[in-house]
Amino acid sequence: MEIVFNSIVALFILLYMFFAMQLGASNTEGDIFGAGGFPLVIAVLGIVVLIVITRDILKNKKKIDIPMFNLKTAGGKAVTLNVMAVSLYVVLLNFVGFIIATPIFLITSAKSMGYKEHRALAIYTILVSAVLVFVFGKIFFIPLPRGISVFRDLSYLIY
Amino acid sequence: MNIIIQSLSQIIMPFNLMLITLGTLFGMVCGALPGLSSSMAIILCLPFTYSMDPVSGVLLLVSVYVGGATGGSISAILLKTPGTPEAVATTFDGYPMSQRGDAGLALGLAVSASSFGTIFSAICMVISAPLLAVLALKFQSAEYFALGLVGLSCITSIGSKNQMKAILSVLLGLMFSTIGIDSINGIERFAFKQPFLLNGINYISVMIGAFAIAEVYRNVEELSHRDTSTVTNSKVSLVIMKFSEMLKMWKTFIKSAIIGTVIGIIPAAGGSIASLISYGEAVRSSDTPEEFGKGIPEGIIAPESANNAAVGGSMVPTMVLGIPGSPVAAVIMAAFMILGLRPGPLLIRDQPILLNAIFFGMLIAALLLFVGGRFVTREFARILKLPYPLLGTLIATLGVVGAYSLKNSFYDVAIMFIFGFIGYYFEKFKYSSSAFILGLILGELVENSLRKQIIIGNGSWSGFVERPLSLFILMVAAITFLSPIISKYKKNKKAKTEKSTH
Repeated sequence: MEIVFNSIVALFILLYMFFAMQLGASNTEGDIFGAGGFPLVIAVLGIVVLIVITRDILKNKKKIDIPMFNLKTAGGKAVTLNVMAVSLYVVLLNFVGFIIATPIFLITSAKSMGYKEHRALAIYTILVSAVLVFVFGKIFFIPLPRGISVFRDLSYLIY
Repeated sequence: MNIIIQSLSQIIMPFNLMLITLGTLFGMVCGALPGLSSSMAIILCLPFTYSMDPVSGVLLLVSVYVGGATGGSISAILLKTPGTPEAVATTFDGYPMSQRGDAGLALGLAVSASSFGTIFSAICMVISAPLLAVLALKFQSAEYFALGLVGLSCITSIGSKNQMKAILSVLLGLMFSTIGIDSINGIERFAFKQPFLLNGINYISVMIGAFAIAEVYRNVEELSHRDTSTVTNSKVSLVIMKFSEMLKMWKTFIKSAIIGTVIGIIPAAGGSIASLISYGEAVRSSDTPEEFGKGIPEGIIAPESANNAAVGGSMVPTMVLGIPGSPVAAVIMAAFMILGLRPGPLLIRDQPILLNAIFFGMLIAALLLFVGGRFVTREFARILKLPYPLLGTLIATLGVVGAYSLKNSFYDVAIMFIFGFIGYYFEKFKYSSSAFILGLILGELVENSLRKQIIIGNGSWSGFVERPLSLFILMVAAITFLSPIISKYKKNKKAKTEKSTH
């Protein structure tokens, strides 16, 4: 598994290096690095260090348990559901705004972690959403996400 | 003497004392909430100062600044979500100590160190403001580059378990710091014509993702093996350090306060760089550098003392030269002008009472940190009594608000989300998120000052070693970087020898 991770890191560094090489020399007198020089230096260092790390991994084969996305385990299921809840929240915020997306997230995320006290969850959801909107939206005037069309209009009634 | 008495009489006016108290508390609350920075807290207070006399107005703003610099540590220690950028380094040891069940001690250390840093820098400010300001202006690109290296050099200690992985983490952080427009040539780098990448990646979103969101994922997967209660001591009360305990760590307190004051004075450096460099120096000078990152008291004292000392430090060039020492000081400078004061060399001559009033105001705010800290911590710690499914969702929600409110942009939320994954996998494979963040924060400073110095030297590197101050700081960086590697090598060698003899 770690070899896969290291391969992704290697691919990232190689791509980074490729784009750094496209940046070309600087017109400023004395600027021996140019825009691409520093990135190139750290990318080369990165590759060298990555090779050393990968050699060590191959030498001492150690199994690392990564539950995320492993749906066969309870921990894997819970964390996958939670990742989905967070991603849904991020997407929903854009469309329905903070007031509606936040209670949905608070409920789905807590349920995905196995929380079963329904009444407490309902009170908690209402309380947290109200406090966050009041503190950030009303007191500190943070423009919380408003969503689009009717949700946007609705948000203006509240903060 | 007459000026000091006049300043004191201004300070002890009930209205001014009330302003200092409210300002400190408000700053602490704002600092503790991710998404609200010290500068935002000061901006929110600014309208209230319009009708005040200059001394009262400045006192309110300075006490908010002091409170904000301390408040960031509360969420850094309890939730692994730094409330302010200055509290990033506090997370490294504050959160592990809190996880060990010593959250009260961690918070007590943070408040004591913050208070000490504030008092120290206030004294420096009032005694040597004009001299320090002139000295700070001697800092050039070579010194800035060397300072950046000192900050980066502590990676070998932060990631003492696997130093190569810590080095790769910092290199990856440096790579991400180069995204955006190159500030020397104006060339677009790695932005792929995406407007949101032109200004680079905001390290606050990265930090929230890699620290807070990744921690939520990690806890969620563990919930299946245990009950849903939060793993922490539910009763958190601030443990105030005794004077005798402080004396045992006097070197860390004083050294960090000096670093914070000096870096605060240097224009545009600020509290976050001060805290990282101070942390690096604490690691370098420690007898047990391998303990850093596991919840060692010095790991909290060093960044907290430094970031609060930077408050007083940043006020020096703001008042004496009219050059703000930090973004927050820039807001305070704007307030000076609104209040009819003109920052610059004439300010201290024309308004001697103001300088002394700020000094006394900072002293009172520093003492109030203990009272405010106790109150804010107690209220903030209540949320730790929540079962983890509720606490975890709250952390994720605060993280989203914190990332979004940076620029009111969903891109920052998306970056936070992506780095939540990266932070999770980093932890699984024993890479260091802290080292990554160090690289991301200090990358711009290191690259720009390196290139600027070489341009000044017309392509020559000699400037770095010909300038005595730069050479000295570079040597400190080299020692900080190499000493944990050498000590690990020696330890391994000793272990091998013992094994072979047995």
